[in-house]
Amino acid sequence: MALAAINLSDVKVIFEGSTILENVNLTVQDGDSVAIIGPSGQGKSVLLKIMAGLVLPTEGKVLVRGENLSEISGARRQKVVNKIGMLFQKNALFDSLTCGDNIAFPLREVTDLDEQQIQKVVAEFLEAVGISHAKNLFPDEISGGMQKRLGIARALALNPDLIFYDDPTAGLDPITSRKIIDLILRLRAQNSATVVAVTNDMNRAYQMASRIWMVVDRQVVDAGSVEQTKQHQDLRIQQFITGAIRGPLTAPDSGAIND
Amino acid sequence: MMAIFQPFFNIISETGRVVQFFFQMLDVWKRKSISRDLMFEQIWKVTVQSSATTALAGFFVGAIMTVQFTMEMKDFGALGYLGGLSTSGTIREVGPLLIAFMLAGKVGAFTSAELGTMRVTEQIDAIRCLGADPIQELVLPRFIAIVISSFFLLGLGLLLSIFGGMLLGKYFSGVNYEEYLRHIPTIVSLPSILSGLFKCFVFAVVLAVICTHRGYSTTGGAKGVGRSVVQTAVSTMVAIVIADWATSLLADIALKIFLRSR
Repeated sequence: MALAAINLSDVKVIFEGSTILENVNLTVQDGDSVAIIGPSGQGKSVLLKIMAGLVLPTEGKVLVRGENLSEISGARRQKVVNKIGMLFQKNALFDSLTCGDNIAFPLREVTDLDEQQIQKVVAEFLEAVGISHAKNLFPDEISGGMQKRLGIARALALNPDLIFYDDPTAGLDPITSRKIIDLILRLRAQNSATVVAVTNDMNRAYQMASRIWMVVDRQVVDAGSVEQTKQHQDLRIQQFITGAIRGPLTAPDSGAIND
Repeated sequence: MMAIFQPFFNIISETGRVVQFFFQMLDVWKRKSISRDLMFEQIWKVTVQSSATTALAGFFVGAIMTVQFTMEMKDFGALGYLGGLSTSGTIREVGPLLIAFMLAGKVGAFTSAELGTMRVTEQIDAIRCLGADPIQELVLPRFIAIVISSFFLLGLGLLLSIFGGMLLGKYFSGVNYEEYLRHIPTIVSLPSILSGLFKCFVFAVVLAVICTHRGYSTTGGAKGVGRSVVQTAVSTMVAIVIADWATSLLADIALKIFLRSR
């Protein structure tokens, strides 16, 4: 039986005395495209970073391709990590490097390619995301949409088979958001990678996901496929996807959304 | 009752984390190579950043030492030893301390803010995610640069302090340049120089490990970066004074052993 891409069992995360997540049991199969939705501040990004091995859970086990990232090190860990790509919420571009060098960074660090080959790969990725003209510009010299594209290109530079997107359309106008999601889908169709994306934009979630999870009240609720999510009986999911002001998420005793 | 002791517990646990971070750095250094380009870039940055202020402060330290010693030595008719004594004092104590404070105020705060910003903008996470080690890429080049640059800056500060002392010696104390310089080689002994270099090294290590640790472990956005910078400034000043006491004690013991062996 093939190994799951990611498996979380009994994961609990406590940060500065507060429980962020508990009793999280999830599996992402190869080829899945999962959207994680949920109110702000509920731990969606933390969940993503746990899956990417950037945050260690306080309790529980996280297996990526059958390997527990907190227990392995050296070349064995590197082998797993090199197959993971991540687009960060604020892109996390290296502001002291040009756009071209941002993409070249992982290639120089991890691969044995010579400089000529690296420049060829950089040019291909810049072209794939449509910002070839920005190769020698610095990240703060390009627009937000172009920064997202650059972040995506850098995340994909090592040809990962497991890609995490943390709010890929945050702060972008609807047209640019649409273009970014189209780009993610197009690149996914090319490399058949497993994708896990955090988003609060339901239209984008429906557009890109085969499964939807909702993070709420320190738990992760598996809402199922897009159709199942739309028909889901959980009132919190219904309130979130319809954007209703009244409901369990905004109840006075709810920790989810309280102004 | 426990609340009274909480600040002490915090200091102890923070010290533990700094020491742990230092050993983590050493472990990475042992296993992985550091890019020379990155290191030289940082050495250049640190040295250029602090040269002007160190030179200015060095000049006035020499001037202050000369004025202070003049008052005491005039009564004993020993003004001829002015240059030797003030240079010895500068190289043994004031120089390393001055360099450490200059570096703490400027480079320490800058490094902490730089790494802190990289942490809160997730650049450090991105480096890990892209298969590199942020300690190897970001922390070690800065750590090594601070330690190496501190010796350049000590030399610069010392030269300027001698120059400042000579000028004040001539126009305030009436000691001409030749007289001022003549006793420097006789009074400034090898143990004094070694003691100064040892202190310079220890202060630079203390400063470098604290500022890189604070920056690297920043949490809480822009506010967190500000908090890290303030904590770096306060912690390094206190740690350097404590390190000064410890190194003075060690230097004194070493000097006694050295003198006994002759």
